[in-house]
This record gives sequence, structure tokens and C-alpha cells, in this order.
Amino acid sequence: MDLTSELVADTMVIRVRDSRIDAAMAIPFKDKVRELARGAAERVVLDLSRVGFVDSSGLGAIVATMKLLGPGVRLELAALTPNVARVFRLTRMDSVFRIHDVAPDAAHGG
Amino acid sequence: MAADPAPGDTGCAAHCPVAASMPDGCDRARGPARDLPMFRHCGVSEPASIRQMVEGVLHSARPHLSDEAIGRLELVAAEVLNNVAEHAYSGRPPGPIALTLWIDAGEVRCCVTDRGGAMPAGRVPTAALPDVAGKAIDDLPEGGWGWALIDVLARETCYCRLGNWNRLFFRVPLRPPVDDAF
Repeated sequence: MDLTSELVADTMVIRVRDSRIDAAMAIPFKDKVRELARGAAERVVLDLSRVGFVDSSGLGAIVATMKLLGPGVRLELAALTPNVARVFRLTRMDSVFRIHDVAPDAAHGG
Repeated sequence: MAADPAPGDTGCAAHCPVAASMPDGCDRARGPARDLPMFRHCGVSEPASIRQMVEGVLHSARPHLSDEAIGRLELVAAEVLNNVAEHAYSGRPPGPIALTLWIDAGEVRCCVTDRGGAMPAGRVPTAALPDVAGKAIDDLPEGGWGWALIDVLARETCYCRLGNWNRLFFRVPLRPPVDDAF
């Protein structure tokens, strides 16, 4: 699972560089996000701009990740591609997560 | 329908172009499907193989479908195949899955066969969407969306148990319904 992390102001931005979060990726995804976000910030934004596909297993992994981060950390999402936005819309999980049009960017001061 | 009826077609024949006597023979398209472009992808009930099958479906369908329709086909194919792996082959060694698709003028016809256990009650499960409104984070579902997604993305979903085989047929429209939240 190819993820990178970057602190932008007080937000940990985790950029997913793989193109799919599916059943094959669900467990590595959870493990890697938790490792990157551990103790890092109160707010974690997942940049999904490169992700073209999330299935229900991937969606479950994102929800599980939010639970693993604990009550002191907010997990938010950014830059959903049309296919990924559809999954969140059809499952009504777009009402659960705060979703940003674009991820915070260090070059623009977050 | 009983959980494990005697071999034979149990009602899908009107929809499914696969020969009833060859439940793994999705390449034997019958009737009007005979002249349609047809693609078959085979694998086993493991996540990496399922990903390859879904990518094969995309490769087959891409020249014929819009990006929007491809996205819906990709999702419903992945959900159906994941269900086979997680439920039909639950507690069993990984086994074969085949997905055949026919590209028609207004839809993609799909047929998935596997040798796992029968669906509970011998039919497609009900497709209630897990409730998320007002739930605390720790109470949110981490799954249970699969059949609800299939239900909204596919049409005429039809299941048959044929001897030791499962066969699921469904259609994915090339255009989304205008009043759905697609």
C-alpha cells in the first residue's frame, strides 16, 4: 500500500498513491494509515485524488481506520474522484465523513 | 426455492443466456445473446484474483461504455465477486469463479458462476442499506453494503443453484436512471 504523509499546519495529510482501495488492499490500508497517523495530529485528512475505485471492503477499511484513530482524532476525506464519490453517496457515508473538494497543500499554507 | 434443489434450471433461463446444463459454460450464449460481443474472465475466490478479474472486465468493456457506466459496472462486478469469495466460499478452500459479460445496445449482461455453497434460502439476500444516521463513530458499520449496492446498480438480479454450482445473472444499464443519486 503506497501512502505518504505530510504535516500541513496542524493537519496530517495522508495521500493515497494506489489507485484502488478494495478487498485486496483493505488490511494493508488500515495498518499503514494507523502507522502514519499515530500521535501525529488531531485532524487527519485522507487525500483520495489518485484513487479511482473504492468498493464496500475499501469503504469498510476507511470506517475501521476512523475508529482505530480514536476519539481524539478527526478523519476527513478530500478530493474524491467520481467513482469514489458515488460509493459514498449510494451508501450515505457522505453524511458521516467531512469531505473536502481538495486536500490541504503545504505550498498554500493548508 | 429450496436451499439446494435438484440440478436443473430453476427459473433463470428466461434471463440468463447460459446453457442450464453447463452452469460453468457462460461462453455458450443462447438466443439473442449469440451475436453480442462476449467476454469471459475466470479466477479464484481470493482478493488478488478478484482484482484481476475486475480489471479484465474493465479492459473488455472500456471500448464499448462511457466512463460513468464503466464505473458502475466495475463496482457491481467487484461487489458480486467479493460476495462469492466471502460467503459462497466461506469456510472452504478457494475455488473457481467465472464472470461472463455480453455488451448489448443499452446494457451489459453479466453472469457469474462459482462452486461454493448455496445462497441462504436459495435466493438473493434482501438489500437493506446499513443505517448510519446519527450513529456514534464506534457504532458505524464496516460492511454490509454489498447487496444494497448491487441492488441499486444492477437490474433483474437472478440466482440459480444448479447441482454444485451457483449462477447469478444481472444487467447493468449503460445509462443511469435520471432520478437516482448516481
